[in-house]
Amino acid sequence: MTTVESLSFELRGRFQSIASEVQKSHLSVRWEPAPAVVRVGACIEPYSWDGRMAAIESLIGFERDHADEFAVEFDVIPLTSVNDEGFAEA
Amino acid sequence: MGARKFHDVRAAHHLDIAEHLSAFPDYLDWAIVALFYSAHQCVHSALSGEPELSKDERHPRKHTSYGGDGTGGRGTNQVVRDIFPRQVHLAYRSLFEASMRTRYDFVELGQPYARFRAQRDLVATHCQMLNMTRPDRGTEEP
Repeated sequence: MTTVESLSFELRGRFQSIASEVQKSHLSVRWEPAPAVVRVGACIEPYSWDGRMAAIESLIGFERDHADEFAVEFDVIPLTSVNDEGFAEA
Repeated sequence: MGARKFHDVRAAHHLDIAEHLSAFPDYLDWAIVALFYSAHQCVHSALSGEPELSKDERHPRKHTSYGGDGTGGRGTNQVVRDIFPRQVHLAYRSLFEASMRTRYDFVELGQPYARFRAQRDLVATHCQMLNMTRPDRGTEEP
């Protein structure tokens, strides 16, 4: 059965495997059963081109492996931005 | 009559907007939005003539849908995932994600416009090549 806990557990494992590009990450996961969509917010550090692309590749791999269960929508944003007033003002 | 020409015209229009906006650093976020929609129209141009897809998936109405019973077919993102090469899919999903970012985020990526433009061009080239190999399909075909 799909739960936020099971999705989060798997995603955390996948992000550990890209630790060379993404040293720190914070994942927020929302599961919407009716449309069968998993929404993932991935805050990463460093937020570099390579780190961002590694995170996206990991997330679409996650979706591909669950293609008959759900689709995935995701945001990949800088970890620092959520603590920065400039983020909201931009 | 097919929809390919309509999508090709829209793709060129959105690319023009992206190139115009890219000259203004304050509007980089909107330049990337236009780049994504140019890629989106290229994809829909190619899907319009896709021989193996039903009408609903040749003309997806959603960006995101896993395509189970009662969903009206897969979303554009999932069709691209399933029938396009891996690198084209990655570029497309990168552009989709970037279209929801803010200018503030992009500051940390340096000067990313050229990289996003290269991703758009990868998607566009693949779609143009596909279109060269086959005719369009009528929008009313099942």
